[in-house]
Amino acid sequence: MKIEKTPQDDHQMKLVVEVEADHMEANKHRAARMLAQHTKIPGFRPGKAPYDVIRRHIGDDAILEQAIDILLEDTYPEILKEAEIDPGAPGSLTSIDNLDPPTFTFTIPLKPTVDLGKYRKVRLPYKYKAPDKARVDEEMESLRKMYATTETVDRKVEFDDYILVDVKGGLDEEEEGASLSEELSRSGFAVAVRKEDQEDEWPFPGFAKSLVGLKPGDSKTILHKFSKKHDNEALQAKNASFEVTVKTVQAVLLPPFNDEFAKTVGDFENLEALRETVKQNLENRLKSEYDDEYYEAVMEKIREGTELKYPPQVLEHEQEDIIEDIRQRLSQQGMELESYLKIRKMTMDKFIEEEVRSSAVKRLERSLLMDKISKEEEIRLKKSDISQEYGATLSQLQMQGLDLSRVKGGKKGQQELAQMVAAESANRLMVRQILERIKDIATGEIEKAEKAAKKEAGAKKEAAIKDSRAEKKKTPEKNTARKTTALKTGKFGETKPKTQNTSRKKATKED
Amino acid sequence: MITIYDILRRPLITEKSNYQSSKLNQYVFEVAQEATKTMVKDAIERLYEVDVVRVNIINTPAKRGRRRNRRLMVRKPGYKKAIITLAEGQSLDIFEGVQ
Repeated sequence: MKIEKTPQDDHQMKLVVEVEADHMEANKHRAARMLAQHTKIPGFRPGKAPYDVIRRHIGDDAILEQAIDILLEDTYPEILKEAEIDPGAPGSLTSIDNLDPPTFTFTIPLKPTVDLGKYRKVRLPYKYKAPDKARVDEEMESLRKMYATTETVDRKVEFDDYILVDVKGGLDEEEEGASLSEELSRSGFAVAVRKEDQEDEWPFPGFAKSLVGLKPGDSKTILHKFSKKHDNEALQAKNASFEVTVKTVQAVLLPPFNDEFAKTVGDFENLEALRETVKQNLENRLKSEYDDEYYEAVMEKIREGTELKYPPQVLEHEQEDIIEDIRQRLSQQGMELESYLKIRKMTMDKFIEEEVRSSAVKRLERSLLMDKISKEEEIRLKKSDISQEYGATLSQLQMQGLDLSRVKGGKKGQQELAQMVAAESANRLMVRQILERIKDIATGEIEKAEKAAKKEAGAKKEAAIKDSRAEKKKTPEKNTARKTTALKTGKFGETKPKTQNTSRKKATKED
Repeated sequence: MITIYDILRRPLITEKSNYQSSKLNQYVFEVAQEATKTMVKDAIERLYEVDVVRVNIINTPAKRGRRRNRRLMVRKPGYKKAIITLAEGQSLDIFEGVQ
């Protein structure tokens, strides 16, 4: 076997392979026998006809085709081994150049290579600040507003009131009949009067504000000129007048801040306990938000210093993954991807081009980076950690109403589920550990720790070396296959794959 | 008048005849109804320039059968089959695959 290697720009390898002619002949016989099994040759039982008869019956070309198939199947692994190539995706046969001797050209995508560069030098201070008192107060206030009640009052309209109004509107220069005035009129229309302008206020921003000071039963005529960028073309840059009658005014009553309020909100003993919980929730939320941002930034920084190389097939694979994710998301909402695209007036190609590709690139690069970092840093999961995480995930699932004994598929189904949960937990744990390590690196903690360790080691050199060697031997091998699949779905600290979030966002936008 | 060119209809290539030609040096032909052993011998010797040791002749009977649904009668005509044994070391090319 002769192999000629030519590397290509897009991280693929071109191989020209020449196979011995004998080999080919033997394969032809094998191919003929295989084909004969399925063809009916008169006078012979299936598979019993001699080679010549088969050749006469089904023709040389068919046999040759089959023979090449067999040959490739057999020798492909050998070729890879001989060429010392680590493929990142299935290779393809580009052309058959010659038959005597048989010569083939393959294009084989190489495994992505990641050169992390000086990722250990990446520094980004971790500046998370716990929410201060004012922030907590704000949170409490919004909670209070959520529990507010309204009451009909007989007084002038003030800010923060809810009012019911009848609106009769029309353009000053009516052009096309009454259709527009209908659109600009409503009766029994509820308006929330706020100090700030709201963008989506009907019929124009600032409408409610102009009603302040009116009493129930009062009427007022408001003149307004629509902006040139108004959504409705017929209304653009037009003068309109609105005759508004206030029907009722409802004042908002905020519940008083006391222990009673705490009890209505939830199972809290007093206001202090409620405040504590609110603070805790707020802190968790802000922290995870900040963490997301932080990790994103650090990863971005690490990415800048690294050199990633991967063939287009790997990216394509990632894209397919993402599309599959989206498809699943949509099917949970009872929609098909095709109809979703139709609604958005997109074609599949455009969708991939505009939305899937960029997130695929991001996801792929991230997973490559994380994988490499985990290898470089020798992050390994401890068995006890995994089982702990597994337990936590399972109980979480059970809280969501999952009943293990009622899983479809009997015992097998249960096992599958258990495996899924286990993989998921290991995955999550791994991602978390990697992120923590990255954080340590970026904040410089690692360097400090290592320096300290060095100092210590200097003091009792030999003992330390022995210890570390023993330690290394003890650490168990980790299954890398699981790790890579696990990392793909990893979004920082979260269980859901990234695309799920984005697709959900998209869906709601559409709504 | 029947000539030697009318005697041999076609070679019969089946699993069995394949065995006979490769192991026993016998070749099987479908021959004309009126052919005799001597006529077949003459024809083979003249056409292929080989020596025929022996000729066996079998009259394969016609077969009737019902096909598809049970009503359709199908008749398969009979034919005369000649098994020709050649002298050792000689062979007929037409059985040796595509040229």
